[in-house]
Amino acid sequence: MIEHTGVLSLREMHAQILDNMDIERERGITIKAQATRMYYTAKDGETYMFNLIDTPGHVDFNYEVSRSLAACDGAVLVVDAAQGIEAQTLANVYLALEGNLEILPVINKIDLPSAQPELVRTEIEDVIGLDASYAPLISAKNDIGIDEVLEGIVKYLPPPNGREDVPLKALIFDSKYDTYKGVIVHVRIMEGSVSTGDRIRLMHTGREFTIVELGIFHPGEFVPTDSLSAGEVGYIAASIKSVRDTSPGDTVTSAVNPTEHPLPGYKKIQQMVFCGLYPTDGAKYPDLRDAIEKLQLNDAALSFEPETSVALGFGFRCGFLGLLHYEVVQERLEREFNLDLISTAPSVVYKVFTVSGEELRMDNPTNLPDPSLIDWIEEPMVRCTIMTPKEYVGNIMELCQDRRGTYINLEYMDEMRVILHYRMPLNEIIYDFFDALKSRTRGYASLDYEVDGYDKSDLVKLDILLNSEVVDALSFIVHREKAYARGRRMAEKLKENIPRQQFEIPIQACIGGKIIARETIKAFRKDVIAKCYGGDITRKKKLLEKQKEGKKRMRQVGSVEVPQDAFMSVLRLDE
Amino acid sequence: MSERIRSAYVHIPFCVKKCPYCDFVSYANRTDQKSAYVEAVCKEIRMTCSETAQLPDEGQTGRSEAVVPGDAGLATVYFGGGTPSLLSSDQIGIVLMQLRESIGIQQNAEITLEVNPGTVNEEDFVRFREAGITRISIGIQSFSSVLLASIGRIHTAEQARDAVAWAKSAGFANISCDLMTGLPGQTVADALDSLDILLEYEIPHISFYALTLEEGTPFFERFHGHEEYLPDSDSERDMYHILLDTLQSHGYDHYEISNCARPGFESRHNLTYWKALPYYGFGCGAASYLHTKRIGNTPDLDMYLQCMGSGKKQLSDIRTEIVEVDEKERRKEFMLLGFRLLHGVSGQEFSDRFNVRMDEIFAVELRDLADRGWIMQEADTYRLTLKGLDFANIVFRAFV
Repeated sequence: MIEHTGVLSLREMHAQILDNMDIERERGITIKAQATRMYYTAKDGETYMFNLIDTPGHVDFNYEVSRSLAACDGAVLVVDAAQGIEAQTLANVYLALEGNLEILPVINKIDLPSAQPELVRTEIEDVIGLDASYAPLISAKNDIGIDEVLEGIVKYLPPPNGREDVPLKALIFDSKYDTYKGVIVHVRIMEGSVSTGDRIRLMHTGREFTIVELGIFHPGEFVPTDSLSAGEVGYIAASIKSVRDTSPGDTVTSAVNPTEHPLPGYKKIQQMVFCGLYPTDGAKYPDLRDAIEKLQLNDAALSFEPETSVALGFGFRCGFLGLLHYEVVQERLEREFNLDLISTAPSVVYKVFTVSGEELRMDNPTNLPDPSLIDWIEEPMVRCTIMTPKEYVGNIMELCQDRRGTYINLEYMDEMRVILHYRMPLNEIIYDFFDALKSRTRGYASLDYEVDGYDKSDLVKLDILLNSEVVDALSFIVHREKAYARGRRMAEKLKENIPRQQFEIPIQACIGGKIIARETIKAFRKDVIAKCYGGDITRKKKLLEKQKEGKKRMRQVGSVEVPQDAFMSVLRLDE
Repeated sequence: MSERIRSAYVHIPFCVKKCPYCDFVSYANRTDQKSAYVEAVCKEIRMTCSETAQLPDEGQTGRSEAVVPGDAGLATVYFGGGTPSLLSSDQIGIVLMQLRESIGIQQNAEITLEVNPGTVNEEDFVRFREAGITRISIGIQSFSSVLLASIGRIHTAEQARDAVAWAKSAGFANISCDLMTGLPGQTVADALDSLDILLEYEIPHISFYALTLEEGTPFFERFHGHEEYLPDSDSERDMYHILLDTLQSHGYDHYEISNCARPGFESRHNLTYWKALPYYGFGCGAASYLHTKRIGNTPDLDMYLQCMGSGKKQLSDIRTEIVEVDEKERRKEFMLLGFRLLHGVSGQEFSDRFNVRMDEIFAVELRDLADRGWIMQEADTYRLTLKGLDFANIVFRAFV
């Protein structure tokens, strides 16, 4: 579409133009919603302005989707002609329907040999209940049918209907920190208009600012304009210095002539997965704080608060929407802010009921009270929707069973595909369930889940001891029946990933003082270059430099040097 | 660099067969190119010398002193390889002649030739001596024929014994022998047996190296990740320490991590490296340390021969690696290399060379290493502790 409307020339185009993070291009996914503007001269001779927001699809990012949808009047639903409707397709459609948006279905990738566009068309009608008879069949890659999509937007999606002659009402749907301009808020003008130099008020925080620059989005860049008015999507820079002065969902209005009622805003985000993030080099703690604050501006779904660990020192307890979100945040912090991080095992939020009658919410295993003080523990449950070609049903059921899932039912979407519903503990999903699901279904299954209350469960805290000292950062909560296998696997993984040191290191996995697994890292007795003559000096120096560099990525835990990789390896026990 | 260059290394990149653990530059089946190679080396020596002479601040090490007798000229020359004993005594004589003519060689210079026992007869040692060689370094590695075969050496235990005996009978007083530890299948008893034979022959200089898996060698391919087929680090250390203890109890001075010598028999040439002093390096794959640069010559024999064979070539054509070593780096190298010596690094030598105090420049590193027991201080000198011997890389890494 960007190419067709002449926003970019063919020369400037490349695949995934709006996915400007390295992680997005590497993984072929969209993480951040990106806005852009384009003009299209339709067959009726009129020129239309489109404000497009490209959104992610993965379940972890549906907060990003719902925020974007709130800024829109209609949605283009892109369905893969080979994959058909996926679990997240359904989830995102429901989000759009909740927002009363018109939906234009589009069937993409019709060029693939395995494409079955007509089958998918039927599926959209049967499963989602949308009229797909007018859905354009396209191949974005091969430039087929794009004009039909543009025509479809003109024809089927409603234009914005906000009035311009009323006080300003703009929705902040995203924001970004710029070293020179301060916080840049991304807005959809719902009503009224706004110009450079105007005095604005952010209704939630009450803070007022004068607009220094505003403008519209062009792929990969900001284009300044003089004003924005109802229906437009753009950005505002107003020398907003503090990240805390803005929050997505807030309403921007005029300080001189304010609107009476703010927009409804966004519902509070529910983080599902928590873990500690620590700098590998303890001295980088202030850098990490700065980085997380800035990242949060761009990723409202991330929460954080300071935390200390005996093993890792000062860090932050961070909350995420899911495991992919967690991975993405960690990777962005490392790449965009040049940090080396160590993460503790991700945890969900448990409800702990003590014998004294208290109810505690616990997202950090380290804080779990002594077992003798605990009456019972409840864990969060989710309802999973898994869509899959029917031949993989057996594999998936086996996997879900193994992850303590309870079967609910199975529906046929069509002759080939089914929808499986399971009720499962969230802590079985957050580690590697998605990967396991994909590998057991050759990538064909898709997953979506929604929270479904809490269940009482026989949970225990598993501790890992290195050289007889508990490493708090490696503790986690697990179902008793799975504790042995998990503890054994963790000890093995740590043995593989911690290099031999000058002394023997026992690795033990314990439940409440009882050792359930043990491995030993043998001591090494030498670390010395035997031979160094005239021809060796430059080479041996390089070798020593490389070793020294490796040491920097180690964390001193008690007397043991633990590489960053070792902390990460225990999060991926299935590999 | 203020120090005069007193040492020259000459690399002879020919072998009968490549040893599977060795990553030095060497070629098998190319011995027909020996004489062309000797010519090329002589040419490199001439070119290097005129280059040095043209540098105004290096005038003192130039040609002018070539004719000056006494303490001018090279104090040490080392023929290493590869297998330099594949050269004839005449060919060695030609290279020495060129060095004498271009740079000068001191009267009592130490001139070492590395010898592979599988390449020599009794007569060769006599001739090497006549050609001017003063010191023989024999690559024994072990006196067990089984172990020798397992590491792909071309000689037998008997040939090793012969070589030692012939070197002595030819009149060489200054003999060094190499032994290896940590070989596949080797036991502590094997290592000690080999040392006992050298002690019987009263060899005054003994080197003992742990087998190292160097990337790109057949041994690396075979054993990397399969270290269980090699003696573990415990038994390798047992071998090392028992050899060391035995040597010390026989009056040898442990002067470098892997080297012991009777007093006065330390390798003067190798001390040049460990004291971070400059040296020439001639030949294909040779390294030199000149005018604040560490230079690596091309490991490509054809390229070397071609460049040194035709007319208009320059030295820069064969110098494929040049690393600039600035003052700060030189100080670190002084420490890094100096700690290999058991006498340690002397504060006096440091300040003489760099005009700053060692214990100020490296205050933090020295204190930390001493606190952790890797090094110890005696007057103004720091050296490895017994414990530090096994973990010397920890000390070295503080200075990279």
